[in-house]
Amino acid sequence: MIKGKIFIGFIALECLMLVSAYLHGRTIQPSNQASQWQAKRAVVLRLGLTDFALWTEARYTRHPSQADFFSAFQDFPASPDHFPAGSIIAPIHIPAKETP
Amino acid sequence: MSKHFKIIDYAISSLLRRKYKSIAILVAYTITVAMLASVLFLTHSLRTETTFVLQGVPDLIVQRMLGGRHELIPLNYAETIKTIRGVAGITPRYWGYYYDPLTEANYTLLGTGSGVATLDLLEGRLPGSVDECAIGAGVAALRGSDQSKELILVNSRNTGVLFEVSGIFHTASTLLTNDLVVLNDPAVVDFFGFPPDKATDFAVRVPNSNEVQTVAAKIKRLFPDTRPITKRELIRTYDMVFNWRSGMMLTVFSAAIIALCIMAWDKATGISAEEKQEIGILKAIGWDTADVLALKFWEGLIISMTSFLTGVLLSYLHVFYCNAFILSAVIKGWSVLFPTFHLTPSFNLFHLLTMGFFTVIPYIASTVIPSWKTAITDPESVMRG
Amino acid sequence: MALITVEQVSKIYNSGMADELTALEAVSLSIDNGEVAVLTGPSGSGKTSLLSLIGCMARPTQGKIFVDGKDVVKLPERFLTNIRRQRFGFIFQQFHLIRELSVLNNILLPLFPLQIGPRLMQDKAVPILEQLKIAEKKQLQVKKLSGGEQQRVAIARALINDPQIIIADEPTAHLDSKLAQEFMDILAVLNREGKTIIIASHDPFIHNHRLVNKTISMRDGRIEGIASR
Ligand SMILES: Nc1ncnc2c1ncn2[C@@H]1O[C@H](COP(=O)(O)OP(=O)(O)OP(=O)(O)O)[C@@H](O)[C@H]1O
Ligand SMILES: [Mg+2]
Repeated sequence: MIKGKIFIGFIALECLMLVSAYLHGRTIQPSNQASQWQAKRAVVLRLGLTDFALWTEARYTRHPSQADFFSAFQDFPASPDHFPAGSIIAPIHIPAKETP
Repeated sequence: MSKHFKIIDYAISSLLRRKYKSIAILVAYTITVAMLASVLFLTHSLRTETTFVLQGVPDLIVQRMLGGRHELIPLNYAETIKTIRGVAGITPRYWGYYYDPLTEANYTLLGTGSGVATLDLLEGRLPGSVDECAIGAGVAALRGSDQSKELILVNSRNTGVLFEVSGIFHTASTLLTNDLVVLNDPAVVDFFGFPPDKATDFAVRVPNSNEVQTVAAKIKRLFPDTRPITKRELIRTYDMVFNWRSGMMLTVFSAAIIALCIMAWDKATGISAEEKQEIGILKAIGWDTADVLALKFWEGLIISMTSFLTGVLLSYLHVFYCNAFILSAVIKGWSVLFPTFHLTPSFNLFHLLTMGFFTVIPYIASTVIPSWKTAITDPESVMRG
Repeated sequence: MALITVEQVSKIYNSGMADELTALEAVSLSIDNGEVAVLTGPSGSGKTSLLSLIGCMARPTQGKIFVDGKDVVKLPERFLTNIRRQRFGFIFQQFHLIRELSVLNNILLPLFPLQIGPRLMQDKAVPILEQLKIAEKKQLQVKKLSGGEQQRVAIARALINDPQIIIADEPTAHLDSKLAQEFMDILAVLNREGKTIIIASHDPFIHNHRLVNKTISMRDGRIEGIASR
């Protein structure tokens, strides 16, 4: 019986940790939204930033929102998409007409 | 109740008897879940943060295209655009990329318009003159500018230019500012050698968000060589980068796929002669088929539940407390300057439950189903092997 | 009425295949409540096969088997489980213990799926362990025991559910004469309590034991003779 109890206790503990992590996230998010996110938004607003500095390796990965559909290939039309980040971010395709 | 307690107990003993196999499965399973949950957590919190932070981007950006490429835009376009109804203001933006052979990194050089200003996330202030700069924490660390308080870059005339560091962005903002070198506008123009009558693009202010689309269409009509990018498109871009469908569903389904792989492996190694023998014995000494299946169910549940929960907790620590260091090594690509994530710990319960469902259930099925046939065969022939 | 009746039972292994083998052919016998029956016969004559059929571990190819007046041949699996659990204690020729498990857990294993608390389980096991002189080895893994000790664990496991019928397949094969004597003494006690005992054995010591009141000789899957005394 002892092994079973250890197992159940362990699972219960993990569940508890997960639930508290979830609740922690729920409570911390609004306060972060208020302070840090506001500050970040202020940076965006002031500098007119458009993109995250995630992938700095190529123009179209540094500013995906400024690049168009085929910018990955614009330097040489037959070139394969050789930047690794290109395999993570999908080509940006925005429908011409959008209903708000 | 007491019966299931005893069966759980026995299931654990059984797993411990096949110690190495159990541990191997447990570890592989945990790592898989941890990886997938990390992707899930990272994309989710990046997405929530993006949608909030990027509300600050310009309402409309107007680029000029030439030969299918982004080109500098003549400043006199601004005069015409300004007259379009709904446009409250237009500012030329000066920015470009700078490859630093010294550190083999790309920086983004950005003009900051005019006016000295401070920001909460900026240690110091924005550049006030042509020989000052504010830099991202990544650039500062890479170039040692946090110590020397200066930065030397080589301009388009191959002359070294010395900038005095007036501010360094806070590490909390690296996601936005890591590779930035912020100069004032004349400094950028001079550095890249832009023609005096051109800017990189325009940021257009359209206070009424309903009008942005119309304004964009009008600009496109007036200047067919331009490409207007609306704020909504911008945010949509990031919605797509961290797309719920391509990111989240991929995560969930790859979780399912990998669970299936583990299962297939487990099945391929099969229910061993020993396990069969054991089932035969249990049947012979009076265990019901249902009891045997309950045993197998618990075996599966113990492994999958433990791995799932441990994996999720590990990934939670990994993403939110260790800045996703493993995952960022993977998604980093060739970026020399890669931001550290300072993410708000939060996750979507529904995503997690979906993932749990797709990992735990198939595994349990894969342990119960192969034993089924053995469990319903006459114990005598099972025991003889 | 007989407790166990076997009517015209045959068992054919791998029926219809190249290695088809008739292990039992038209076997009929009956065993009364409280009887001690011994199956004898050369190796391969079908003793184990017959015991398996009687103990509801397998189904005959043909014929009928009645346990307490109930035909068990056509019963669905879950009823057979109940019969195995409630009526039979089976001591296998190859022991069929779970080698990595402790002696105690092996003995308690038949009780696991029942609604019995751990305390009561212990209480049931202790006298049996002591009776069979394996009490001080109860925490040892079965694979670390000698053949004779393993056999006694197998016996203990058969007794834990307090069965009505004890089936023992070569129970003394690994025991020395002293332990064999003790085993028969235990059976004598159980028999006195009213239990029916069926043993398959080559051992003349068992054949000649005063407890035995029916000897069934087998050869090539058939019954050669039944002697009662
Ligand atoms: N599952 C099986 N498949 C095929 N043949 C089997 C099977 N079980 C038993 N046999 C065969 O049936 C015959 C009778 O076997 P059984 O085990 O009943 O003999 P036994 O009288 O118990 O012999 P021993 O005294 O050696 O234990 C043997 O020839 C054996 O090979
Ligand atoms: Mg035999």
